[in-house]
Amino acid sequence: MNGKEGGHIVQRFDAQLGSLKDLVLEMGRLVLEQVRDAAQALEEGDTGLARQVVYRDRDINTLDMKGQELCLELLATRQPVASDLRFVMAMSQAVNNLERAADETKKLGYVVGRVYGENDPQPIPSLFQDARHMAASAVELLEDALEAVRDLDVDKAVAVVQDDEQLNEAFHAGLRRLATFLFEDPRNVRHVIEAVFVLKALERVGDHATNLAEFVIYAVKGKDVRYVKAEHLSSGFLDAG
Amino acid sequence: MNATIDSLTNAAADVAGTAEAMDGLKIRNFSGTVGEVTVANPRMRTRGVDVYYGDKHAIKNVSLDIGSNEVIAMIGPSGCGKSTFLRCLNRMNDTVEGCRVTGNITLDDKDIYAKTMDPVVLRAQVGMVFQKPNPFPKSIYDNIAYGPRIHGIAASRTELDEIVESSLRRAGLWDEVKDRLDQPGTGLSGGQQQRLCIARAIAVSPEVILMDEPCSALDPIATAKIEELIDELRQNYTICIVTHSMQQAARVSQRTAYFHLGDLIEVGETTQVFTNPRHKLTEDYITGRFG
Repeated sequence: MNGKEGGHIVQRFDAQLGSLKDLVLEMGRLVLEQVRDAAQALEEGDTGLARQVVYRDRDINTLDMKGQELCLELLATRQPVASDLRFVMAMSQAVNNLERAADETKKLGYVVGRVYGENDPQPIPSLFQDARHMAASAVELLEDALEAVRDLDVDKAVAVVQDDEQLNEAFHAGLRRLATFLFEDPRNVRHVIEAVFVLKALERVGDHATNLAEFVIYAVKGKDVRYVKAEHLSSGFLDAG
Repeated sequence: MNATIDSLTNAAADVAGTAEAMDGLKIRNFSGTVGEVTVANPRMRTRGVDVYYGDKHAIKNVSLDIGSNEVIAMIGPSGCGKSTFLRCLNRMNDTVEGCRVTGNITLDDKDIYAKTMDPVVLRAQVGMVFQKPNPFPKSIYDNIAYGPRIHGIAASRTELDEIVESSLRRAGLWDEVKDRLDQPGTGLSGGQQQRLCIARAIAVSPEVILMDEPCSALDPIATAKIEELIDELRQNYTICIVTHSMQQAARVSQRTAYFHLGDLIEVGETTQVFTNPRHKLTEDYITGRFG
């Protein structure tokens, strides 16, 4: 067990909080695998791998339900307060966001199936060029967010929130580039629309990673920073009374 | 008295100007307590209160306002001084041999430790409900009527009947006992006895009601009734409650004060204290890490 969830007189409470965090980290590991595999399936046109991504989403849904049950049990039986209450609420939100991030990877799997399905014309090779970079950034964000959860590391969480701006910029740059494919040849429209779905899904994975980081900040500092601009997240702001 | 309090406040505020961080937190008031000890509409004010039991320093320089029509909860581990502090508010400590109280405590700007203050009158204004229900070995009616009689509050039997009925109604007990007012108060259930004690306190028209763990001897249903009653009584009275139940403090109070080894460590809005306490000792205590 890591972070601040230890140290209670009732050690069973420590164990329950530790189990909750372990579940979130396990869920995060599976979601990371989903993002990586979905990106690889897209890169290689591997519809078999894409089907696996879609299929494995149910494992994450199972963890989602288990995580929410654990949170409910903790609230009902321990009546946590202060940092414990914030931790449980943050983990509940983390579970929710990881489940939604996984849903985005499932969308990627469906796109691969549609775009690379048998007998269909193949998309032009450079269409998913931005997706490759965005997937790498999304994976990095999610990894960092999960490290922030593991260590309840506010500095790392703040970095995730700030780094998400780059993924958002990449998304908008990608959209602009996709528009040029339409100008070049309107027959690309079907594949361009699929590519927009891909970029949006990856951008959303980044958003969910950011949400995870914001809930780490809430758990540790007691500050709701969801509507605070990333550049304002200084230590002075977070420590102000 | 006002001048005394103001001069104390001003002098201490000067000290606060030089105060540095305590456990990383800016001390915002003159007593060293984290949080705002003053309120805009105080019913009682305590300034620099120290309590000694012989050589033992039980309360250390505690300053705290108790606002009108608020419920303030005092929490802390056993022996932290919360009950001692509560008992200072109606001079119950006067009866404890070797107990010495210094500092200033006022009720509506009147010094309750002034030589001119009659403790009996004070205790009518600042009533008290104890951990264990302690009805007099008298009828339900006489339990309520006793205070008004000795304080000369009722001019006639009719008036006394009205006081008994209204007190029992306010304590949420009237419907349960109206047909057996002549029966002994000690024959009621524990929860009913505690509400009878609250009705007895109300009968002499107090301004403040002190409650020292009023539900610790009661079952959850009786506890819920007392908590509901506390919420209703807040409309007319100021209530200070000492409780060992964190959940109870969170449920019934608007402000919470955390005591530790005689120091008032932190005071704040109850929601803030239970979601984001500012002092590590408070955090460790309410989350069950205090060992």
